[in-house]
Amino acid sequence: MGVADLFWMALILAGCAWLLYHFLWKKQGSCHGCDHGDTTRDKRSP
Amino acid sequence: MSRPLTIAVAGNPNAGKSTLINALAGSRLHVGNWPGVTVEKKEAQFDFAGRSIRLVDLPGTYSLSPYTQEEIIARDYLVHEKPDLILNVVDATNLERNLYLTMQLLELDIPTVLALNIFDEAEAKGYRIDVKGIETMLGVVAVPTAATKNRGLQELLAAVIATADAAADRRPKALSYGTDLDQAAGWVTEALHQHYPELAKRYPQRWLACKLMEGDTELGKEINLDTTTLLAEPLHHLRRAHGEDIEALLAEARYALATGLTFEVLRKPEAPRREITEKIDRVVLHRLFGIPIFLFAMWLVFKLTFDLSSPFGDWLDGMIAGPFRRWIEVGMGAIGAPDWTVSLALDGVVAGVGFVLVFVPVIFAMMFFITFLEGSGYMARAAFVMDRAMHTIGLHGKSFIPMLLGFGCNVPGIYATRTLENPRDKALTALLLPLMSCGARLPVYVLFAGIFFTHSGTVIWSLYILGIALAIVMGLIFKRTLFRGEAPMFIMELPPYRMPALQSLLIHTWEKGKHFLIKAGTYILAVSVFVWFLLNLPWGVESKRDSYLGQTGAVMAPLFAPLGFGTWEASASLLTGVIAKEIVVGTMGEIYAPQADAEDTGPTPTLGEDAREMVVSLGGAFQAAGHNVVSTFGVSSLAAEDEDGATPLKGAVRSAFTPLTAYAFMVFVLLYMPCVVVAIAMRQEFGSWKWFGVAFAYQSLLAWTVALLVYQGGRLFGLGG
Repeated sequence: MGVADLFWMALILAGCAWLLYHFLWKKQGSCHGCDHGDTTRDKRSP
Repeated sequence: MSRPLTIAVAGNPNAGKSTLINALAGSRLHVGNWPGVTVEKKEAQFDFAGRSIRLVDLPGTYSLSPYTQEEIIARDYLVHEKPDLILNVVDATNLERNLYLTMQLLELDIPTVLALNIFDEAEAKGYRIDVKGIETMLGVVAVPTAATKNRGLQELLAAVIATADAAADRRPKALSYGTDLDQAAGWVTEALHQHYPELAKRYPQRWLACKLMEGDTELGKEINLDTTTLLAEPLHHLRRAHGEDIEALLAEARYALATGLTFEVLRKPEAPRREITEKIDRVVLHRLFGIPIFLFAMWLVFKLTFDLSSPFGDWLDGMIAGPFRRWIEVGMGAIGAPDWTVSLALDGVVAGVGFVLVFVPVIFAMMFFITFLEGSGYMARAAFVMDRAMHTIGLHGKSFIPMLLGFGCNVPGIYATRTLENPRDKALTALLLPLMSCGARLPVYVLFAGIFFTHSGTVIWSLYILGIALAIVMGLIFKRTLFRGEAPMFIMELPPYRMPALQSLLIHTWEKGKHFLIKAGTYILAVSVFVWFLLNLPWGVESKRDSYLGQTGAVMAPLFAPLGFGTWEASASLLTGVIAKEIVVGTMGEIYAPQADAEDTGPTPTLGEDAREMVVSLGGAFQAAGHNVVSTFGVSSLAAEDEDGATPLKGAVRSAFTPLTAYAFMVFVLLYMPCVVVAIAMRQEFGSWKWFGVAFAYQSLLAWTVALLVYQGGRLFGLGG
């Protein structure tokens, strides 16, 4: 396994970490109706 | 182009606000034929006659009192954001009750247009509504509409624009609440002008006067003003004539106006015939048969779901495990991709995500039937029936609405607890909600029930019922420990039955189901990649059992041994499933995939043969689904798959479990801790991790105990193990 392989592995893992952060944490799992609690905005403010 | 118009859409729950907005703006807000679907404001924007229009869908409320989250959200928006116009959606079949809110909206002195919605049903009932009379008495424009049939929408928009453009001349009438109240409100308004002119500018005057006289606590906190002197004379005047409770006095005045107006403008047929809704309700709400009918309805939903979807699931399974996997392998080989990337793609992404995608048809079928029940009005009856059952053991039934929402996904159910007034009821409902089996758990059930049980639909139905039963039992325990107190009365609105429009049904099925696809393509994909790494580290590990994930699973396995599934594979799947329950299946796909490949030997078909096979087998799937639905009972799709028909991956699962351990495993998946997204939602809704901590602790204990009882009890009765 060379440096290029390690680079690609790191890139893939970083991409997956971002997917988890964005869709699981920020988008609250992206389920139907989950946008009620989207952490990117204040849900209670009118 | 003129400036954009901001229009607040307000009305009672289930008056059809979201449907009207969807019809006007072509948006896809969630609609259900039951109250409380919209728990926060939502927006839709569109152009009409050269004007840009922004519609703000406020939560449905019966009044503008500060008692529930929906009421606070709605009135804060109306008072502080000062929209150009209020579009008050009124259910024409229920005029009197809806007009109570209208009276409060008119106090805000904002130009208002009334949409007399569901007008078609009012006509079908033989109601004659004097629209001109309403306009004259209230001083607003009223337009009959039927949003589901796109009726009256152009006229409504024209009226909205005309009213907004002539806002100065189109203020609603100041309605009289009787001499005493009018006089008292006048004194308060005058005093506010003199002593607090900034308040008089900030708030609608009549509304402010009424709210101050009512002793509105939220407003009191907001303006932070000692109004004792200011209100002394008006309140003394009112109390001397009408008693202490000014809030009740104002409510009576508004009701009296609503009743009087309805009496003037509504003519009902002399002898109303027994309506279809009433006839159906006599059966489905029956004191004895109500719950059995609910259980049967749920069973039928599962039966139809699986009859319809299982041939397509089998088709997808065959396609992903066969041609799709082969094409990726060939493609990556052709571009000279390193071996580890091929393994990552096949044993990680295809095995993990692909195995989850196999359950897309069942998820969509399930969402279709749930959407149908919501849209038809039956879900509201289910809540009503369960309310009665829950009350008999000291629980409140309004909580059952968020719980029913939880069948789709627990997270919106957590947010729907906002509709509950009492913080303790909110917390209790949120704690019980994860026991409702969400769509994410369905793939696990379908996989195991399909492999091990002849009547898989009935087995899965039993898991849903077990979840509801345990929610009732745990609710009872919590009510006697953490949440002592009386169960509040719950008035459930029962909307009329409606046949949901097919287009609306398909749109909302897609809206619900597409999130499953988004999940599969985003964080389930991410977790599948992480799982692949964990199954292959330390690098070059020979056996999956010696990988990091295998070792972690092996450490946890003894904990599950008494439950009948003490293998590292099952333990590791449960661990990753904490992120989302579908991932249990995805992880099993990755763990068992290489093993399955080894068994998959035979000549490799060409691309053309694969394509032909795809089309032919898809045709077969349609035929099988049609046959299943038509013959409905005792169909072949509900039989456990025979060993020859199952894919190698399912064969691997079959060899790792028995029917008894499979059922214990499904029970554990049903009950064990809420997924990460539910945890985040609970943290956000309640402002701390406390209630998630409680849910985590009790559910882990409950899952372990019930799965233990199932497994050990099954062995005791000689069911094998």
